[in-house]
Amino acid sequence: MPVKHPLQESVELFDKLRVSAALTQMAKQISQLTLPQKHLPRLLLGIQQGGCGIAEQIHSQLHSWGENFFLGAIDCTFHRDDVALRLPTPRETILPIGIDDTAVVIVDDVFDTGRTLRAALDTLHEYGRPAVIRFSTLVDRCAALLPLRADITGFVIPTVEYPGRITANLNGIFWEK
Amino acid sequence: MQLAHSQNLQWQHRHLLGIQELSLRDLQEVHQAAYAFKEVIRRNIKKVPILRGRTVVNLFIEPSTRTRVSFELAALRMSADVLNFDAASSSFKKGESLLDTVKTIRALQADIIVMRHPDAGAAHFIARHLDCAVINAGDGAHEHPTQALLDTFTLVEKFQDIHNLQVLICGDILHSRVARSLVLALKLLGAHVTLCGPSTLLPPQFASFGVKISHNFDEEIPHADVIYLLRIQHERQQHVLFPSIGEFISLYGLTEERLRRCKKNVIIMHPGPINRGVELPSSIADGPHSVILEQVTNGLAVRMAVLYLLNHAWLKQHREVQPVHSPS
Repeated sequence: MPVKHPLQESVELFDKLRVSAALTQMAKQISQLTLPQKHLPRLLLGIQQGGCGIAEQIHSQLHSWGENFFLGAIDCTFHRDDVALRLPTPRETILPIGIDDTAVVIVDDVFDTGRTLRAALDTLHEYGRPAVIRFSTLVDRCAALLPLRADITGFVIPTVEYPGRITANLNGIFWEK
Repeated sequence: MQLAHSQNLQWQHRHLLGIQELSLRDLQEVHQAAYAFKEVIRRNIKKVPILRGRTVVNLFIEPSTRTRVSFELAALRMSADVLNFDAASSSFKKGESLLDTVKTIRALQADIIVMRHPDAGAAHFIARHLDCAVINAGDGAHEHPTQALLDTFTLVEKFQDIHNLQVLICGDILHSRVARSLVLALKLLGAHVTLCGPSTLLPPQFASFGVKISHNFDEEIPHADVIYLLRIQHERQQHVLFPSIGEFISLYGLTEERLRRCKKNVIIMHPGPINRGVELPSSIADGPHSVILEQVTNGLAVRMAVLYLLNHAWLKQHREVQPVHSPS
């Protein structure tokens, strides 16, 4: 466990090369997901805003292997339960296809309490009824407060060992005070 | 949009009373939120639970169709309970004062009051006396902030950056709350504004807004990127301020002949209701340059955005906010 100096703002836990390797591994697992029916249209949805860059990177990897996935984005601001605490910037939801009878893989940067995923699932069901929904995250904090879990994970960084805030993007994974 | 990288919005206002009180950042935040709500109203299920449990009261002491319906639908789309009052069905007829009426409404636990009133400053007055959010939906000839917000949102959608855009506003400026709010919003966003109309409907004092004043419509139209036409407000005119409608049309009506002298991609806007054949003919109102119906659609998204922002201010005021785990 890297030691944080009291005055140090942020510690790099994993660099961009490790993140890139993890995303390749996640892409491989996503391509191998078992679906309830063959030939379902597959849709990769990044949660606005942190999940979108991760989803784009995974999508380009899948595309380079000839795997057909649609790429979109989902904003769950209006289903969040914390609007009394902060005023999240609402962003656009982009669905390139109708989601009825599709296989949706939701992608986020950090899976923490599970509240964002809950809001994303509620939002998604306003658009239709996917055949299956799976969830993939670059970092799992093992701190879910809801009965939800990630199907595919890049890194496991438990909150009990690394309290505080984790920032994850294509440049690396950072542990902040 | 300009605020795409900002995690949280910084909106602090408890009320929306006028554009005068807003900063450029506030305007951009409304636009950013409206952009997201515009996507919501195109969904299969056009409803989100963000105002669940809130009560929105539309108190319209002056007649209105599009603004009231737009606010009502915006609140319903956000799962609020909505009550509509108008002058005819309220106790105004029995002589009850405005303050007593709104205090009664507040006592019924209304959370947001949307008010239109024929007197300038009415919304400011009730905001001073109530602890709920107040939205000015038009106060006399003073301000109509949500109209300006939806108009500028429409322009930002069309042009991305409206800095240095040439906007020509023509018609009854004197009685227009729309013009006042729009000029303030456009100036915040850096647009160049020209006001045009007969001198009786466009006093020279308007130059203090930092806009160009003109009485010659024909001279101005070739330079405009946007022509915003205003209705003649007969209901607010105490005296006859121009000789005849025919003369007004001949000098300030946007005709097909005038449209041919405009820029090729000119945008035509109007806040409604339109006097077809006066400010502009049907061929232009329904033509390819017109964004009048887009303004109406954007009005719904912008009003949802305003309700979203004010609801947060309301929650902050009424709840003890406990710090919790950073949600991700």
